[in-house]
Parts: sequence; C-alpha cells; structure tokens
Amino acid sequence: MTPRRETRFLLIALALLVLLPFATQLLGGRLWLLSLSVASYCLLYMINAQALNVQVGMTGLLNLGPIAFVGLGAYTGALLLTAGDNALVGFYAGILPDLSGHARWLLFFLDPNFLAYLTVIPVAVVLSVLLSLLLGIPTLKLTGDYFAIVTLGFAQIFYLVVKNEAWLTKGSFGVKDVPPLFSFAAGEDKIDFVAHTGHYFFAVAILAFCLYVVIRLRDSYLGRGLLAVRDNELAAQSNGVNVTKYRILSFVVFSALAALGGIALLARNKFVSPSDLNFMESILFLCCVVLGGMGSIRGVLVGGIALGALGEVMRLVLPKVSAVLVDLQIWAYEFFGLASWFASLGWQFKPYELPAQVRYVLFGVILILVMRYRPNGLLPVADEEHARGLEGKGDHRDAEPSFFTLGDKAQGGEA
Amino acid sequence: MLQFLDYTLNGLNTGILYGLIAIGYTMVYGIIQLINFAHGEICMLGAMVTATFVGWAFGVDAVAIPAAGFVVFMTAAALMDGGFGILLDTVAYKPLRGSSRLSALITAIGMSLLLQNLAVMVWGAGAQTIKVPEGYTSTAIFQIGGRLGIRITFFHISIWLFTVLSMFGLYFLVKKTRFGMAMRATAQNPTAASLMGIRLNKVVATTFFVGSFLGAIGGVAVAINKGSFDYQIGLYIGLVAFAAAVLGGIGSIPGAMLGGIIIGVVEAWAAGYLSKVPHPFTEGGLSTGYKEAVGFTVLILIILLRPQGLLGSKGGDRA
Amino acid sequence: MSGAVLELRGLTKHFGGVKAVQGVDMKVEPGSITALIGPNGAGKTTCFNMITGHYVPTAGDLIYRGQGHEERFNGLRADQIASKKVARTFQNIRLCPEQTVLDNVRIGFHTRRKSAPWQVLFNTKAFRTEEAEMAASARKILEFVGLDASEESGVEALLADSLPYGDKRLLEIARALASDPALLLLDEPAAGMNPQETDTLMDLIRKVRDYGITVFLIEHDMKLVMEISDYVVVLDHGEKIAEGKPAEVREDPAVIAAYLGQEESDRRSERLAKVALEESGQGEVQPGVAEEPAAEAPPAETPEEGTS
Repeated sequence: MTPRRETRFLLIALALLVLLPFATQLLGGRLWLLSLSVASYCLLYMINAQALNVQVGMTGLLNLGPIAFVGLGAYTGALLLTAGDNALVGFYAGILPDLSGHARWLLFFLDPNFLAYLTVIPVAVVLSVLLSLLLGIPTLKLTGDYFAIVTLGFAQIFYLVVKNEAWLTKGSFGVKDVPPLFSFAAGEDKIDFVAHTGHYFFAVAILAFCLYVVIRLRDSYLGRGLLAVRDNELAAQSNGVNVTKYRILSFVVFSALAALGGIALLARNKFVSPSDLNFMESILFLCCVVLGGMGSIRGVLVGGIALGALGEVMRLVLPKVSAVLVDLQIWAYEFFGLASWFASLGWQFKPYELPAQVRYVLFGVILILVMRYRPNGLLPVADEEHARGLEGKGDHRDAEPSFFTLGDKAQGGEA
Repeated sequence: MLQFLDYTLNGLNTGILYGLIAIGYTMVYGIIQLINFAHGEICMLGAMVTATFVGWAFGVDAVAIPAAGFVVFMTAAALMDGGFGILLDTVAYKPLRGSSRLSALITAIGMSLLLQNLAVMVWGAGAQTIKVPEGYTSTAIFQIGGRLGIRITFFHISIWLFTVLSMFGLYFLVKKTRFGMAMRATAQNPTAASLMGIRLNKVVATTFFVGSFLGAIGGVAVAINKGSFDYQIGLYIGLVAFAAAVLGGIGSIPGAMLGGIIIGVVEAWAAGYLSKVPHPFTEGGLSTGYKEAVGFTVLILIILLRPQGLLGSKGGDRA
Repeated sequence: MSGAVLELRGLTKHFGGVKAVQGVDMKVEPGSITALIGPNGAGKTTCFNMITGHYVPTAGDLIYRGQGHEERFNGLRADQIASKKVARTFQNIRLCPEQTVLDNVRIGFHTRRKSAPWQVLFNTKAFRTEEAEMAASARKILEFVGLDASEESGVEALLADSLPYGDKRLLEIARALASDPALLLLDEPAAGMNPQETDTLMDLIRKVRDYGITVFLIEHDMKLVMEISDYVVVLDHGEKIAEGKPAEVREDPAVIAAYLGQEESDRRSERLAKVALEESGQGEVQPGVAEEPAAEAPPAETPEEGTS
C-alpha cells in the first residue's frame, strides 16, 4: 500500500463530514440541529488537536497551553469584527453589490461578512505566531516537565490578562454579538440551512487546510527535522538540523493552525469570553492527541472526533441519566419505606444528581488508561508508517538516485 | 507602615501554607522525578474530608466546636489523605515506573482531572466551609498597632507551631534516621539503593504519605484562611505550591518552605499594592486580579533564569 | 588539497576542574583511516564532540580543510559543522527508533536538500522530484552499507527500532554517508558486534575509504584498529601519548603502560631489551622496538558506555 491509503482515509473522512448535514437533515429539525451542534463541536477539537499534535506529537514538546493561542485567534477575530460597530462588515457591504435571493449564497465569497472574516484571519494568525514566539524563544533550551509547566503558566497569565484588561478585551463579559459568518445567516431573510451549516462547512474547510499543512510538513525534510529533534536532538544536530530553527518552526505552525481553530470557534459561537480560555480545554486537546496517538495524523483526527463526540453526548445525555437516577432513588426511598429511618437519624432525603463534571472524570480515566495500556494511542504512528508502506511506489520508483554520490568520488586523495 | 506589615504578615501566613504543600511536591520529585500534578487535588481532598468529618461529628449547624475534637478530626482527615496519596501512587504512578516521563506526566494530569471531578460528584460543585472552633480565627492573641491593627489569632499561632514542628520533624527524619538515609539514597540513585537492600516501594509510599499528610494540613489551613473553598482550589494552590517548590530548589525541603514564604509574601504585596501601580495603557492601577499571576510569573522566571532554584544544586537534566 | 583534512592544535577541554582533553596535537590525513584509541576516560569521545561542535574547546584550534579551504571549527554549532561535509556516528546508537529505516537515512540528506519551505507547502514538482530522488538515493546507500533495500524485503519500511543491533549500526553509518561527507567520524562502530559483523564492518570502512572519504574512528576493538588503520593516535588521561602506524603504536611502552599498567610495560621493555641483548651479543639496548609478534598488544577491551 502506498501513501494513497492514508490520503484515501482522510478524503473519505472529509467527505463524510461534508455530507453529514445533508444526511442528518433527514432526521428532522431537532435531531438535525443537535447533530450539527455535536459535529461542529467535534470539528473544533479536531482542528485544535491537529495543531497541538505538531508540538506534542511531532516535535515532542508537551505544550499545556494551546487554548491561549486558540483564544487569541478567537479574540482577535471578535474584537476586529465588532470594532467600530461592525465597521469591517460595513466597509465590505459598502463596496460590494447588493445581491439577493439565491445569488447571495451561491456567491458566498462575495458576502461582506464572509470577506470580513477572511480579512481578519491573517491578522489572527500573525498575532498568534507572535505570541508563540514570545513563548517559544525563551524556552528554547527547555524540555519535558519544565517546558510543560512554563507553557501552563504562560497560558494562565494570558487568561488573566484577557480577563483583567477589560478596556481591551471587555473583560469577564466577553465579546458579544459578533457578526455571523454569512450575512444571510441572520436577519429577516436569513436562509435557515445556511444559518446552521455555514460555520460548519467553514470549519470543515479549515480542517482540510490544517490536514494539508500537517501532511505536507510530515512528508518533507521539515517534518523529518521536527521528528529528529523530538527523537534525538544530538543526532539531529549532527545531521545539520538547526534545533533552534526547527523548534521555532514547530511553534509557528502550531500557533497558526490554532489561530484558525480560534476563528472557527468564533464563527460557531459568535461570542467569546475568558471562560473559553480555561485550562480544561487544553487538557482536552491533549487528550485527543494522546488518545489518537502522538504524531499520528489520522489518530489525532479520530481522537478529536471521539472525545468531542463523547464530551457533547455526555453533556446532553447526562441530565437525562441523572433524572432517571433521581427517579430511581425516589422510587427506592418509597418502596423500602426509608422515610422513618431517615427521620430517626435526623437526615433529610435529597436524591443524588449527577453533576455535569462527570464527563471530566471520564476524560481523566481515559488519559490514565491510555497511558497505561496503549501509550501509543489508538492509531499509532507505527501503524501509520506501515500503512504508508514502501515509499514512492509507482510514479517515483524510477527516480534518479542523484543524492548518491559515493560512486563519483575518485580513489583516495580527493575529498 | 502598619499596612505594609499587615500585608507582609498575611503573606507569611499564606506562604507557610504554600510551603507545607510544596514540601509534598518536592519530596515526590526528589524521589521519582515526577511532577505530581494531582498533589493539589490531594490537598483539596484533605480539606473536603475535614469539612465532612467535622460536619458529621458536630452536626452541620453546630457553632460551638470543641477545639480538641476539631484537631482530632482534622488529623484523622490528614492521615486518611496520606493514605490517598499512597493509593494515588499505587494506582496511577507505580505501574508506569519504567516508562517515559511524558507518560507519567500525562497520567498525573489525568489523575488530577479525575480527582477534581470525583470531588464534585461527592461533594458537589458549590462552596464548602470548614467549621472551626469559635474564635479560632477571630480572637486576637496579640494585637499590633492598637485595636484596629493587625490581629494574630489562634489560627496563626497554631499553623506556625505546626510548621515549625514539621520542619524539625522532617529534618530529623531525613537527616538523622536510617529511613531518612534510605530516602536520600533512593533520591540519588534508586538502582544502587535497591541493590543495597532498600525497599524502594516502601520509601516511595512513605514519601507520598508524608507529603500528602502535610499537604492536607496545608489545604485545610488554606481553606480556613479563605473562608470558603470549592473543588477547584486544588488546581490553583497546586500550581502555586509547585512554583514554590521550584523556586526553592526542587528536591530541597527547606527550599520548598522558603519558596512558599517568598511567593506568599509577594502575592500579598501584589494584592495590596497592585492597584497603586499605574496602568501603562489606561487610567487607574493594575487590576488586583493579577495577584493570581504572581505564582505563575515566579515559576516561569525561575525556570528560565535559575532552574535549580534558590537552594538547589546545579546540574541534572530537567528533560 | 594540501594538508591534513583535520588538524587539532593544542586542543583542550576542561569541565570545571576536570581536564578531559589537554593540549592534543594531531592530524588526520586525507583519504586515510585514522584511529583514535586509548583507555576509557582518555578523552576520545570528548575530542569527537569538540570536532562535531557539541562541545566548545576551552583552548586550542580545530582546523578543517575538507571543503578545499582552511576553516576553524571552534565555536561553530553542530549543525553548522554538519553542513561542512563532516558526518559522525555515535557511541550509543542515536537513531529515530519509531521512524522507518528509509526516513532515518533521509535525515542524512538534510544538509543537501534544496527545496524551500514554500515549495514544501505547495508540493511543487521540484520538491516532489527531490523527495523521490532522496528516496531512491537512500535505497542505494542502504545497499552500499549492506542492508537489503530491495522491494521484496520491505526493510526500508521497517521501524528502525526493530532492526537487529548490528544492522542499526550500519543504518547509522548509512545516515552519516547520506550527507556526502568528506570526513566521517565513527565513534566505536564495532561496539557490541560479533566477529562476523566486525569483519563486515571492516570491509565497509575500507570501501568508504576507497570512495575517497576520510575516516576517523574511535575504537576499542584492537583487531579492527590494527587491521584497517593507516595511522593511530593514542590518548590517555586527556593527553596524546603516542602516534604512528599501528604496528609502531602497539609496541610503544607508553601505550602498553596506559592499557596494562606501568609494571607490565616495564616488564615487557625489560624482556625486549634482554632479547635484543642476547641476539646482538652486546651493544645498545633498544627497548620499544618491536621484533616479536609474541608481545601482546593492548587487548581488545569490552566497550563500555559513557567515557571514552
């Protein structure tokens, strides 16, 4: 098998993602919206996990603060889009022809909101990269535990700055009423389907781009350099890999992709606040990477879906399960006639409800079990390597071995 | 001036609590080179269990809690917490003794997550309080600067006393007993130590026990100091205490206490004076919310500038 | 090109109070196989580490002429030195264990690739061609060192960690050769190898030399050193104590003293002097001149981790 097998897997995955909204529409209104909500939530995890994988999986840097970069992307977008009373959107609305009806969504790329978002993206990326350099350069000599802790502290300080500098970030209130991705997703003549799926397809596009970048990275000397830095810094240096340059490369790619994840987040929620920056999110991204298999692109994809879906499903299902449990307890209380027993002890009967945090218990357990029994994850890179199989089968098999120059050297003397 | 003294004393008080918690980190890292991410949660559990015990024993609405009873139950909770510490190691860390540092760290993170949210399942997400004997935290034993000045209460005296006793006790344990020698040997070279007949598992388990016990007391005291607390308190004090351990020199017990005190004091000064520092971009002072950033900032600066900490020795790979 | 490929002048390295290497002068002639030997802790790997840029010399000069002109290596980073056609292998094998054999070799091409990052991103034809050529070249290099790189064997897709020990060493050499070096530094290449593997290795080293690459190696396996080296330099406690052709060095009393102790060295010198006296009847006693092959050379010591 060839690299094609992996490409096929990814293309199929993307195709399924694209088809999803159409398929689930058949399930009817509420379930459709539900599936979209879960799926778009998963997409965010898939994107951010791919970004984190570049640091953790490919370069071996345990970054515990990715949410700061995602958050920076989201906040940049939010603040720029809402600035001057949605001035950016207004600017585009002013210079573009006013379309109506089908033309509006067929020519979505001429939509003022969409263009505003596109304009904001490079800014978010640049700022995120700059922030990552702020973190990456001082920590060039750190690895392992200490690097992880510094990234954690960095992210927490970032969170505090966002929360406290209300003059810039609107503080704890967050940035509200961010214009939607498409102008025809809101307002009187909004198109329902687009309103709900616009940001979803946008996220799928971002995911596709992320996958492309990460694969390009991995299948090149850049990726091999990162992996060499991860596996054996000393040997990497002796092979000409400038460790400083490659660590910075790792940060740059990671933060750029994370910023895109932040924009996707913004498009979905149309709102961002400091609570989006909490440490738990970073842990969940890490969970996706670890569960899927560090360094494995397909694995991280699957990890993202699994944990995103798990998280959302649990969040939605939990209240129902809890309600059932409560009913069960009430039934038992009455059936066994425990009222008098309680009274004699001076206790008051209060049925136990499962708190929302139960799903985090599950995530914790997953992390522990995976590290114990399958430290390489569900779809480890090793399997991926075998899936990729013998390189260059087919078209490139008969390439010139131009780098093999040993035969050219004269006997002795010349070097 | 009085205000400065007030802040400083407050800082000292919280600082030694950070120090008590930091000792747990530093001891474990010294022995098995693991950042026990879940240590903060262990301390939180100590506080939670104490609150529950005291509530059970004396009734939820009791006001007059006998001091002796309080001490008994708090000690019981701390001992139990020591047990939790051993359990934590046995269940989560021991199976990974030989694996990569990354695996162990991620497991610790997972454990932290697990314990935090298990606590919610048991105690709920709301605020908890530990009922203390009347006047414990309010009656002034000493008063500095007149009636409106600084109060030194039973609470302060008792935690100071406890800390001093603990430091002496630890010093004695580590430097003067055979077991302490076993601990030091294990910290320096586990393989050689085990070849000399030292039971590594016992040493590690004891280390976890002692660290968790002290951490529990620290956690309880922090909870009392703050008035109320919730399941998330472990995350914050855990990180601050870790910063203290690194500041003092990871592996050094006096270092951990020193680090804790320094961070506690700086934090208190920040809480008091930050608002007086003019903000570079807007009017008014810096937000006091940044008080929480003190611990993280110290941590980052120390790791970048002097990773061996104040009392630690140079050398050794931190990777 | 005139002059030695590599020249150490008064090379010194102190670690705090420890004088790991002290004032070493030596030359590595182009197209030769030069060996650096000495008891454990003599400073051999420290010298290597200075040559390849992992340590900065405390004093002295590292002069290199492998690229046609004279350059000074002091203070250059390891990756900068690597780009000057200097390649090395390591005492403890340093491969990427979870990467394929092919990818491990391809890292060796790092200094020679021409594609720019934008070409990587846009997957240009130039980039793809270069990648394919690197893959094909990597296969040839694997063949060259003796690892079966044919399609059927599937070796190239194996994870490096799953190779047998001897093959791992060969893979490391393959990676080093991938950078088209002028100077190849081998740090205990035969460590842990059985006699057959050692013979294969010797053939390979000779082959490499025949293709014009200068080889500079550290070894404890004296059989290998004696058989393939053109020139030997001996270190002890950080200082050079002897140099010369293998046979000369073998009989050098200082060398024997370093390996077997001063007493043994004296004993041998006496023995040799006695024999010489008997043979000549009278006259100058010339210790240290090797006549008898019976005198044992410093034995092949089992390689140990760490100090060299």
